[in-house]
Amino acid sequence: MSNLAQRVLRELGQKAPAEAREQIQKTAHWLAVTCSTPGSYSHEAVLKALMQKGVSNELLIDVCIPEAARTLGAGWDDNTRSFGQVSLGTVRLQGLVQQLSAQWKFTPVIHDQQSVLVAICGDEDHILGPLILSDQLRRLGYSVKLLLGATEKDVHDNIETGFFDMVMFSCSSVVSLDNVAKVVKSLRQEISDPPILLLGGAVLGQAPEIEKLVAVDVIASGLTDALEQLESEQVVNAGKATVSR
Amino acid sequence: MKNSGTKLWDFGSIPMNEPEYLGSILAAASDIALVVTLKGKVLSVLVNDNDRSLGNLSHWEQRKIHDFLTTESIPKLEAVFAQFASGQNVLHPVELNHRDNAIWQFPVSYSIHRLGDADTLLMLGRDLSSTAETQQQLVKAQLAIERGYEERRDFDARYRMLLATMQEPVVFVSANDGRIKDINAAAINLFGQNTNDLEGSVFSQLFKNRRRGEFQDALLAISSKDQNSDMTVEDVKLGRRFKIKASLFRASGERLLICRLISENDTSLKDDITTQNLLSLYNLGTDGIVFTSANGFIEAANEGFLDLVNTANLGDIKGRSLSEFLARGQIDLAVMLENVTRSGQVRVYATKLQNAVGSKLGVEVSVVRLPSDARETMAFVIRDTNRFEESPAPAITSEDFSQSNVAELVGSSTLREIVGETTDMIEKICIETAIELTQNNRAAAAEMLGLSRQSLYVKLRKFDLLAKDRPS
Repeated sequence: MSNLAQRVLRELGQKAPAEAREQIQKTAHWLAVTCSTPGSYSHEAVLKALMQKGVSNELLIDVCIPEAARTLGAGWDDNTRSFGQVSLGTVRLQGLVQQLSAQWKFTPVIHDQQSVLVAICGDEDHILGPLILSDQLRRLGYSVKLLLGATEKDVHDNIETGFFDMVMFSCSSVVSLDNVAKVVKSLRQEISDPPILLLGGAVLGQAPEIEKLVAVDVIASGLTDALEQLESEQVVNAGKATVSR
Repeated sequence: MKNSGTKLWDFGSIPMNEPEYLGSILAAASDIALVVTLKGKVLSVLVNDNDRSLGNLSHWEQRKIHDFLTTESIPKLEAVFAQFASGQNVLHPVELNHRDNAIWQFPVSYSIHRLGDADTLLMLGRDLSSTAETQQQLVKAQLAIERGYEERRDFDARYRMLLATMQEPVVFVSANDGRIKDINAAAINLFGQNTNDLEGSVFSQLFKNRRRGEFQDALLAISSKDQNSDMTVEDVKLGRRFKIKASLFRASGERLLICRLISENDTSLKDDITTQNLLSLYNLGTDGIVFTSANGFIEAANEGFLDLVNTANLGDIKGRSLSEFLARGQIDLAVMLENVTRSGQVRVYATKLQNAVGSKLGVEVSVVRLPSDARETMAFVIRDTNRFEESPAPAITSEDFSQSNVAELVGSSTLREIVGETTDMIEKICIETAIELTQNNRAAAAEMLGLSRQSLYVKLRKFDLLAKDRPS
């Protein structure tokens, strides 16, 4: 009986705070509406209002902004928001992430800091995800270089001159996947020991058997998934073999 | 053509048109006009002659429109077809993204109307390519800004690394108002305060007998002389004497002084190792450390605590009561302060922290009263127990549970009996915990449980806890 009582108490204690989730949902909805409404707008005013709502920068970047972006996308899907509103809202959300990420906290870690090249190839215009990913990686202690509108040569040059443990390709559609596939193919052909190559982004839900289209080491549906896979023995071993440049 | 069952115009208000002229009118009235079946087959495509950007789309005819839509647009159009098939009309515009080869995509906003034939729809489209182009220009502008941020981060990392690793204390001071703009780790350790407290504060206030204007003039005077010029100062806290060498420079139009602090004798500026280690622990440690006044108002807190309560700046919480961040509020704080005042310290007090949005986090708190001639200070060390609990004690799984004695209960007692006994057990555990947390302070325990003292005594007697909780 005591076990049952302990279990009841433990589960009650671990129950996610519903009021916090509700607050986040409300904030994300407010953000989606504010960012997609034409007219005067300023990042500073929005950030000040969010601060007054008690939302930390991390919570804003990790939860509220992605949730607001999903709200905008869902609005386009159900015809309640126009392409113009969604575009405007997304660009403003991206601007918010940029502004918040600019206030990065530098931690002078010299040893054991892994480095990541986040690459968005070609004319990909969905950059919100990669901006958030880069910020999250920096907060986790990774040294990050974000390469936007990357050409094959850009990625080559950065790998040759930098010292990256992994390259994360972010891709939003099957159309732009072709660019990534070309870059990955040439990296495999021309660099003898490339870093771990990883693919993520919205493209993952759009085509079956993506691993057959792009010769990356890891396909991950999100940051947590990516890091878990990278930490798994198989990839760590592969990584050790490939990054020993 | 009807709209929501209402004729758009009265019969005879415009002349009857031959079908070949109607096509031209529709093409001119929209950028693209499609006649499609409810199954999606394109029967006819008309493109406005004045809008050449869409090109020739005659190859769409007799093919499914789905072949010329992006993935995310197909469910939207399917929903529209379903609505028309069920006899409803779609009154709002529907935006779809077309694709016509591997790269070319263009958004179109359609108004969709039922034609005379029940299975045929007329889709009148407005080309949104110009909006898409504007959006792409905005994205390009953002890409350029992001590249700027990347370059700045690169430079910033080198600058921060230099400041963090150099052993000489250095302070950047605005030549205009004498306030500290930036300060390196060595100088922070020297003055023994938070970065947030020092940045933005008046530099002269760190030294004895120095008025801001006079101090500023003196710094400017030595900066204009040769490199060996310096001025001697004495710090307020510990009375240590050292020299300041200053150099003046301009950054983005602002005049800044870079001030190097040099010991009068080599050892005076170097803190002892324990002090430095303690400062590093405060600055880098993952446990929250909070200093409060005797009545629990926050005076200083480290980054560890700011992380625990999801707050960006010390300024946001300084001066507020620590009780605002404790799940049981004033009860928690009162219990800890009462015990620390009585015995000088509190060990491992279990409670929860809550941040501004209401998220709660299990913590253990230790409190020490710091002796001081001037005023009493309380030091709280707060450890996140969620992480601690997660690794060594895995959550009970259904498999574990089925093996436990509890599983044997099911079947041997009725549900009513199990629930009744479990409720008693939970009450007992909660009361024992409250008594333990409050270190046998029954008034505080009753308040914590939301009971009157009388009710608490009744329950203590019921669970035979009166003898156990008596202080030894």
